[in-house]
Amino acid sequence: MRRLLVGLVAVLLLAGALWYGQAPPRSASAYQTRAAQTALYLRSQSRTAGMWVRALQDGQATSPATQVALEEAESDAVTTASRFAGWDPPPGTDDLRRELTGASTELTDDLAALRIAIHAGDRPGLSSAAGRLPPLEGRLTTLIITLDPGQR
Amino acid sequence: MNPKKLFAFTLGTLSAIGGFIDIGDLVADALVGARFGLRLAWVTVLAVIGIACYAEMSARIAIRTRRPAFAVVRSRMGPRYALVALVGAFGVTGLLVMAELSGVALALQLATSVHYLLWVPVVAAVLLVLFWALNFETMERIYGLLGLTMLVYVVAVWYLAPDWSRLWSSATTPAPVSGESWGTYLFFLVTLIGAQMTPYEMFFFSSGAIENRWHRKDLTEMRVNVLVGFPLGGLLAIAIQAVAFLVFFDAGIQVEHISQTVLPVVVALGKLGLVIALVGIFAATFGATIETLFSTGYQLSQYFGWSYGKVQPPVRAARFTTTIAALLLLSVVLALTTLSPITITIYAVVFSASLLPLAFLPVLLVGNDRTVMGDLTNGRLSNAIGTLTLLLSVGIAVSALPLLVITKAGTG
Repeated sequence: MRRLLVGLVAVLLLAGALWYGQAPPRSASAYQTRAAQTALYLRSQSRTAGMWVRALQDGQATSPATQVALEEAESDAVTTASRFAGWDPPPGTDDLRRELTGASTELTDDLAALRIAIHAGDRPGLSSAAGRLPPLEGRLTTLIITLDPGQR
Repeated sequence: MNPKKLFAFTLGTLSAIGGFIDIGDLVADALVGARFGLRLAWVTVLAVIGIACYAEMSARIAIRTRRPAFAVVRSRMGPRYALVALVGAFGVTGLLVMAELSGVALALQLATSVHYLLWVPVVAAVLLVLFWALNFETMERIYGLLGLTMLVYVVAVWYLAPDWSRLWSSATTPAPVSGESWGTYLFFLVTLIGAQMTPYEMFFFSSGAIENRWHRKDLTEMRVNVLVGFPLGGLLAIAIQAVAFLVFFDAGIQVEHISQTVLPVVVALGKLGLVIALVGIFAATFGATIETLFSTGYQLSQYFGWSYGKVQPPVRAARFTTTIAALLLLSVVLALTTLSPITITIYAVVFSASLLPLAFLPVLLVGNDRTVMGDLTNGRLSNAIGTLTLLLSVGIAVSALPLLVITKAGTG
């Protein structure tokens, strides 16, 4: 009986932990926190891609390594963006959702353009797509600071 | 000291430095450096002191008793305790084998752009061939010496021309940065401890003492390996944190891939740095794959009393060889499920942290047992450091899983 109870408690704890980790945000404040995190990740992925492209253009990085890094950045951004887009916005957060999903769509398009350009060996295309990243990063930074003033 | 002995000495120490870093260290150090700067570097210092103490203790046990530490623990604490430790270590080390194997494949992917999943079975096949063909010492030396190329991270710190006062200020501020919570700070403290104080290192070192046929006359060599090799390995770990801090922190970049761990070296040293870093990561993870495989094989064999090790041909240690081959195959299958190696690494090191007291306590008890150890019983320094490390590990073990849940594995 005691073992059964211990087992039941362990299962409940595990289920609780999984729910806590995976549950979507229910309140406006939780949604804003998740939005700030999403924007942080997207900006991180964009800056990583930008750094690799600059390193390649400066002759500091090899093409295979840059290609792998750009593929990873795009894949991560797509996952991050779709995870956020999959959460229903609580009341009063529709504008936030619109703004962030808009920025994330532009970002994933630009990262895809980087991936395509590097696969094709298209250096001008690479530069052009990389040039579109900093303004997007600026928008994401503004959003991050608005939602979480303590962030860098 | 004759030149041949000095050569073996130097080789052993260099191998210890090069063999310190594995995928857990690489990922944890880069993650921590990017988010917290050097504010957790003090944890690396503590972890190196702790694991060096226990590695020396377990090798001394092996030298004195002519049996590896795990086998002595089994005799001392009983088979039930040893079984619990075995199951826990087996689970964690099994995950680490998959992560290390994937780490080798990821390094090859960065070098060739061929997807890492295609490299996983190739690397596994090469590992099996090397395991069959090479003796223990040769394998250890090869990956240990190649792993020295990880020193490129130390060079990269210099080339990035850091503001040293800023680095020092960060290293001497044991608190989260603005925008991070104490919860995530403590979670990454646990992650670093789990990555840098892995029980498999301790048991591998002690089984290695048997494989290398170390006797009392080799005590000095063993101690130099530990007392020089481990701290210099720790310096490497801090260098990885430092370069991640210098390149990623102000940009707000979070480390999620192996490719990001080499980016600071690319920024500092260009293509040559990239190539050297990739060789280093390849060697470090290749060596760690061998160590984790062997460590699991050793523990299982030592628990059941099977023949084991490379001191005899593989066919004469059939169950040990089969265990290693089976674990390698399982790791290949796990890797091919496309589970993220980075995520697996984080979870594996956190679980490893929660099992530390199980591994440390019996080694400390055996090390203090005069009837077993004779004149090689722990001295006051070993006992002081060992006890403090054990107490730290208990705190870490209690908090590891709650922090994993509360901080959602450090994401928020």
